[in-house]
Amino acid sequence: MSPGPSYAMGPPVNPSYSSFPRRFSSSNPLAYAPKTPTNLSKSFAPSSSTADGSSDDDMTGPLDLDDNVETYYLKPPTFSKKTKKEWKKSGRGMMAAVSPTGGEVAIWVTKKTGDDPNKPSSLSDSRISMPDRTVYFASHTSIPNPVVTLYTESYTLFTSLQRIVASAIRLPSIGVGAEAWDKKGNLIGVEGLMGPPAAETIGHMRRLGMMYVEELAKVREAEGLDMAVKSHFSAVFYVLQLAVILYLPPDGRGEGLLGEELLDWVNDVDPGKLTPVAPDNIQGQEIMQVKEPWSHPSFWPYIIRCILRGFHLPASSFLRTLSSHRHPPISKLGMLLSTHLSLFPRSHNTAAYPLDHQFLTAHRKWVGRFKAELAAFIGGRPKGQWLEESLPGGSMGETGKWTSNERDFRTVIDLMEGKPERVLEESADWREAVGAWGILVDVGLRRDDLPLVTDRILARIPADSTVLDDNIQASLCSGDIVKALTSCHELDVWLAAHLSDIFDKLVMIPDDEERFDMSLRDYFLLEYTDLLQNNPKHLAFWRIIADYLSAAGDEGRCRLREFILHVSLDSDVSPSQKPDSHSSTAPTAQADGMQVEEVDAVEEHLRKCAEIKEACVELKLEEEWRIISGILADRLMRKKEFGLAATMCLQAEDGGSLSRIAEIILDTYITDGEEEFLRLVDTLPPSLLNDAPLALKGLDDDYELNGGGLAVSVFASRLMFLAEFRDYLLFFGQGVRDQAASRLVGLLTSGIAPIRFWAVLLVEAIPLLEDSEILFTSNDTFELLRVLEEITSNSTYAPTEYLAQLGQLLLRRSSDTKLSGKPTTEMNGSLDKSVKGVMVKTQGSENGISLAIRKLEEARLALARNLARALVVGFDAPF
Amino acid sequence: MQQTSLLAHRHADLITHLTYDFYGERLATCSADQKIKLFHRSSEGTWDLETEWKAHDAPIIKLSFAHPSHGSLLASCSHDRTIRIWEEPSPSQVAQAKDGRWVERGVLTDAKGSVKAVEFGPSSPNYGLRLASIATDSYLRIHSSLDPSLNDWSLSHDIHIPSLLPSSPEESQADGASTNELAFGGWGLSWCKERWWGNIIAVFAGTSPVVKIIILDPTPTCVLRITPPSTSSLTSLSWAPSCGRSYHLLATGARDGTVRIWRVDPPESDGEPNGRKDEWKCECVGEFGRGGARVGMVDWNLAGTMLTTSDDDGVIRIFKPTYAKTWKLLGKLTAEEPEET
Repeated sequence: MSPGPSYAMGPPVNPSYSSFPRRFSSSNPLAYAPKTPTNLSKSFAPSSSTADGSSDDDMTGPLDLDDNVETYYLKPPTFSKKTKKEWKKSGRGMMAAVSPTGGEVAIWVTKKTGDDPNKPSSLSDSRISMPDRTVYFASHTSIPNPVVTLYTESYTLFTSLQRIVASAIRLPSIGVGAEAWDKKGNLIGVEGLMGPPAAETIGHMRRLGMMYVEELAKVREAEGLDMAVKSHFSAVFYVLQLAVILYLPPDGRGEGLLGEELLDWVNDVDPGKLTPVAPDNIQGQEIMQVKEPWSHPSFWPYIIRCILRGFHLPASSFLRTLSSHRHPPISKLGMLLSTHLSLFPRSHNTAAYPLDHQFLTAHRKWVGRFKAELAAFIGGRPKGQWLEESLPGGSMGETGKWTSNERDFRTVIDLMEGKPERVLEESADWREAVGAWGILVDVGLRRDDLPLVTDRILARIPADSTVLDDNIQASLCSGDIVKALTSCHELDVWLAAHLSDIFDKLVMIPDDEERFDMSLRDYFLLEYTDLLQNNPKHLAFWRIIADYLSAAGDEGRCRLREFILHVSLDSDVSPSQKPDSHSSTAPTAQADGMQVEEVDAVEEHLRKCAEIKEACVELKLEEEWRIISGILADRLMRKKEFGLAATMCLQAEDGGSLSRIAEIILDTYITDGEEEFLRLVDTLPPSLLNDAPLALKGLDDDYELNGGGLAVSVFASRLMFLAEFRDYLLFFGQGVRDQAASRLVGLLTSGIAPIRFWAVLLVEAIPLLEDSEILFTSNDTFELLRVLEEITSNSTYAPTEYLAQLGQLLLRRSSDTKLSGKPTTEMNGSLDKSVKGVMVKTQGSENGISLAIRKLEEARLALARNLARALVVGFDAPF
Repeated sequence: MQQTSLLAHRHADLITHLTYDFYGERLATCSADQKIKLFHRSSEGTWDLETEWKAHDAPIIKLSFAHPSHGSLLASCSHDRTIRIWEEPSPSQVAQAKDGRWVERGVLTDAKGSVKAVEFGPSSPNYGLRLASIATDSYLRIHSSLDPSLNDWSLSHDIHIPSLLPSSPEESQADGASTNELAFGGWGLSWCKERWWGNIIAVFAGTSPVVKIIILDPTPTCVLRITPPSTSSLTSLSWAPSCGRSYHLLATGARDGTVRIWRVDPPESDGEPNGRKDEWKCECVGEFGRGGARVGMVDWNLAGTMLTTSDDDGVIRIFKPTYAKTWKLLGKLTAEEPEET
């Protein structure tokens, strides 16, 4: 075997951030290196270390697939780089299997196939090391508890969102919008249903969107969470917040002014160093503490930043300090700007401007006035001479010294006047420009205008292509939804799922079903369910996963069908099987204790089952519930919980298993005796025995349509037989022999008795036939004789069919008589039926059949005697 | 990726195969020490030993759990040329037995060589419980039990894979291959997981790199040969749960390290009265690791959206498709000691 290549190994990736759920960057060749690298963002960068040039001599083949993925190192290591060849030569290899639930991967060291595949392979060294004795378990992701809370809480919001939007779709009424419905009542015309939701619905969606944002805020603030995880969710938080602001407007129509809302978001996402409102605004204080603040190098930059960020009052008070400037034009201009800036109209001042147009008028007036007063101040001086002091007498004063300040003033003036070029020049990044735009440049900015504005801004100040969330935000602002969502998917699977759901509801994701099997939303939802399914805490999410799958289109539904079957039927506490506790106690003593324990386990069991059933009903998974209840019935049967098992079979509409239960119970009469039989029959729900014929009749009708009528009528009759046979035993036991006799005849003549039980029933009849009173009429006796005749003639061809059960019964009775010292063995049924059955069968099925034939002769004699008596004495005597 | 736990299995020899049950709650391991061990997941997520027993007279090769509709069943195959079927004892039987070991329900002895793979078919009410196996004699055998008490197993199909048509001359000749040639052979099978497709199985045998897709009923017919571009024989095969997709996904692992993902399209309309019957088609949608170390196993997750592969270099790789359905490496794990940096 040729030595394999050594896939280049990088240094270990710190599991603390490699473990966090996200998309691996391999799906996108872009390397995301953030401006300020955090632990998390580091993990977005491809591990360049994989190309560390440690080229092995045997490195052949296209191994580029190993680039750009993180490598996790299993502990304890199985071999080192040095011992690798030796390890491989020893005949060892590796295997990995995947759990069908939870995505757990089990990894173990195994032996390679040797030269002769018919011979067991062997190792060159027989030393079994510690790793050889170990199974390693790995998982794709782990989800910290605060994030679990996010996932569970946002699930409720998600389902509400689906409901609200679904209920908002008003179907055209039948007959009115005739073209919308075809003759069979199927909805065909969906024009007008497919448009974006009404304003009111969008209002509801906004509220839910804000609640998503709040849930994200909780994760950001959660205690004990890794900083990397927190900063990750900060990024998610701001993206979602921006999306809600832009696409779920409070008025539901998006007609309102956007400026202030957008600026608030910009200030929130990137406070910068100089938010004047922040208490730790050190720089601002520092500047103000200087005797002549304007001499501080940051004086102007600070003011400009404040204006861009909408902090106009602080900027105004900074400008006001210029009033004490000794150069009169500066002092004068400073005061002018300060005054006007403090009066700068802002749309969030709803007290002054209750309506948008009032604000716009005010702003227009303000600009007009500002410009006029400014012009008055400038007095026609050309640029570069604004700050010239016109002293009385025409002398020029100290002008030259201050001219340089004019540039800063002009910047402030341009910003206040909202000159686009100046805003673009002064903004530190595209986000700041977008924020300033709606306050300074285009105060009437509305949501529809934003993409054009953003494109203009981005053309000058591009987003940082190495920062993922920066790109997503830019895409959202420029209205490139698909790009935004694709990048979201790389940032966070939860975000992509929930955001694409919102955009899908807004009908903003273009349909590309030509190229792709499913919509982007469905794909992202499925990616999210993959995340929920493939982590160690998946059990807590099963119901959530089911609902998300159900909401994720056709493929989601199909996955749901498979998924729900794999949901553990045990409760989450998983009452582990404890074989020891069963075997430790003596069979007789344990009976009570076992019962209690099992009942608890069964109840716990059923609670989970009830939840699964509820989910199946809600999600319309009838077929799956039938399969699940069939499995449950099987499990309960094994535990001899026949009553519950029968109920489950009924739910599973599984006639086959139901008649199996009936047969098992009937068999107990043969193998364990009357008492055990009666106990088991009594565990069956009385309603099942009483109503079964009716309930099954209903099923029968359904089944007949599918041609399955026969099977159902068979199991219906099995249950009726159980009930009737029980009644016979009870009558017999209580000494009501005439009733017992008539039941027996009824059983054999009504056709509900299984053939294999006929002989048993006839033998049961012997003591009644021999009774001193005549319990069977001659007609009855003729009937029984007819049955006997059928048995004897048919048993020549099929002895097992007709006689085996009787033989078994007789064998058991004879062995019980021998072992009469231990009647308990029979009563508590601790011997499993099949084991005992097999035992008896092997011991002497031949023997049993011959016994049965002899016993039937006894029955014939009894019948003959009874017939004679009945004919002579009986009331139906022909004489 | 991250490591979640470790299990000291305490087999006396290396583990040869490990499999999860339908719910992922139970783990079965088999080993060259001829024993089967069963582990149960505790509420803390650790694996606790449930029971163990000596199951064969030679190293055990593979295990398979049955669909729970058929009860709690496990099949094992071994170098001793047998397949054994085990059933979980009922609680009352557990009370009788001292260690909770599973009850033998069948010993299938038809194979003329080591039985290399065994797998229960998907739950199918029409055909009862089916068990497929393949041995070094290159016969695919299907055993079934219609009897619910599972005491009666009969051989319902016995198919010599290399000579099942259509086949290439080389394949048929491989029948009489010497041990030397067999040394480079591989045998494996995988059922189609979907219930309504329940009678389809994929098989490879011997030194041939071809996977045959076989419809078993009414008579076994090979409907598709999946022929890779290279001649390296296969080591493993896994049919992905199709989850309602209109096509199937199969993964193969080869001796030369290649992992391939195949998209298999069933005929769109079969049995149309007039018009040519459509054919099964396949297409390789992903190929990785050629020239690498021999592939140990390929295994799918429940949704068929993640493929896990392992190789003799001790590297575990996980693949996932993108929105555009191209397969990408998602992450990897290695048993090698990290180098000091």
